Amino acid sequence: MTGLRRLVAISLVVFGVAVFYILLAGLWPSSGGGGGGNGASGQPTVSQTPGQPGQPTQTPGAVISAQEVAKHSSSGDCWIIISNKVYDVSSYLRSHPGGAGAITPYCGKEATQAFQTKDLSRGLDHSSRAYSHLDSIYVGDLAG
Amino acid sequence: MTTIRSNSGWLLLSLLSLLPLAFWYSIEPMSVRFATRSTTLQSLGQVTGLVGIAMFASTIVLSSRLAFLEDYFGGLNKIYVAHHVFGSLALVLLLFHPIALAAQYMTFSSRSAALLLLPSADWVIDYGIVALLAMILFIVLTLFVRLPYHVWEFSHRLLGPAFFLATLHCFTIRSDISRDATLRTYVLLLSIVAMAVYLCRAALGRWLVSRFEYRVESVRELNDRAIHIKMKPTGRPTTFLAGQFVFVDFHQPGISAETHPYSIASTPGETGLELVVRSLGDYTSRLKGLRPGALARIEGPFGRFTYHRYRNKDQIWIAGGIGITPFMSMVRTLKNSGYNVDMYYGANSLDEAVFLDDLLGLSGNGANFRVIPFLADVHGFLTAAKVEEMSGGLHRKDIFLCGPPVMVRNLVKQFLQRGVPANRIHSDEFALR
Repeated sequence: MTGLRRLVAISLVVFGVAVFYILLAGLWPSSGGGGGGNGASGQPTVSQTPGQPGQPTQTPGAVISAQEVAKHSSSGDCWIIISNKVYDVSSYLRSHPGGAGAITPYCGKEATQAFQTKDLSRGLDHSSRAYSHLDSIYVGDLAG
Repeated sequence: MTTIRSNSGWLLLSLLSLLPLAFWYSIEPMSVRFATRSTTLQSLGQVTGLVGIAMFASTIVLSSRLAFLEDYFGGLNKIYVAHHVFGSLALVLLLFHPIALAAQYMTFSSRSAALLLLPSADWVIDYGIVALLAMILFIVLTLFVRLPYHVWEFSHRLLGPAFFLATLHCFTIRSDISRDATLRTYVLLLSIVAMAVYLCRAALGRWLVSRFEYRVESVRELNDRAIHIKMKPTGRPTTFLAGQFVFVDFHQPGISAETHPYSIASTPGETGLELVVRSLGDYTSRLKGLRPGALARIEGPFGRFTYHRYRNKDQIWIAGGIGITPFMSMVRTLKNSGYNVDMYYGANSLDEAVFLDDLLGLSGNGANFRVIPFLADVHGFLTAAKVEEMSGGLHRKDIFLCGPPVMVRNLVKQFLQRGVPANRIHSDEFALR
């Protein structure tokens, strides 16, 4: 039993250190909302205020035309439009709980209704956590 | 009882815990699952979660004292060893589950990774966070904190509701479980079985768990640390084999109704039950105040520490202190059995060697039964080498040990080092926590 106790103790310490590091890296004010990835386009993504449910909030970025968004229409380079804002979901696709296939049909296109209804007929919006994720992959505002 | 059968429980539960991996493997190609650092981290998170919840379910089933499982683990004491192992491994895996998923989020956003680990309005994730925190708390209390027994027992039972929250997380979150019907059905079945078993004991145990009612007939102090309790059934008596044990809770004002395991000292076939209790802690010390007429509820018997289950007729029995108790039951059934037994009775001093006179009187009890007292203050500590010398070898002999855990562990180690196969060494070591 001593070996088991030791294994659990070590695992708890590793868990504690990992959680501390992740929380510090993600919530420390100077680190902003961006982190390990910047999206395929290389655009920096920064969030200054926490997202409100139903309302992603970001620092205004570049102004991007619909034609420019349409150029990023593959699963390896995927931009989508939600509420007149452009998001680079390229590196997020595999992490999407509903699967990458739920997003890829909207690469390069308008995706507001699909996002706010989870593309389902019963109209379920995404959670506040999902809106917070958008902050991290914001590219710019849609022109026009 | 074959070695294969008495270890098959471990194999079966290990397979049941790892089977989700087979379903997970079939959902998507591994080349996709491990294509990038991000997908690899996600896959690690999924795998640790799946196997972790399956092991958690197994742990719950193992805690339920299902008598039929004893044959597949070699006794209830071995079932509790499996419970500790599966429970600890489940916790380790479930600790790494959110860490791997958060690490995956860090590949595109450290803020998202941090938010994943914090409670929010997203109940789906919150179920998992609360379940894991509860699991951490109650297992830390079990492994690293010495609580009063009744406090620990209550806290440990709360792992049942923690498991329920963990299953809520499993079935509400979008994941491989939600995407694949086979995996979902399997995890659901495991969860239902575990919850049903838990509820039958924890919530409905009063009605569903079979217990026998006895009344205390006499309480005698054997020395300043041990008491001998005799009880008679008020209704139907329990039936037991020599060497088995029962769980007992006594009901008398001033004595809390905690349930503890005790080896049976009486002979099978007698309607009464005799127990020998050593003062080890607060509760067992208070049992000295037990009076004739007090009510006792018995659950059991349990245990596979019974000499006639093993094929070798030449046996070595080693008792330390109060560990003599199961042997008292066994020795009274030796007459004309054809078994040849060398009984080593170890104690620190003559005062601790309770029942020594009874044993010496039973020597030559129609069987070849020899008692060899081994008092530490006279002969030193018993070793495997001394046993081998005095018993004329250890070859083709089954060895039974019952006594202080340190004594048992040291002797088992020594016997193994002397080449005695593990399946010929039997101990009654018991640790609920």
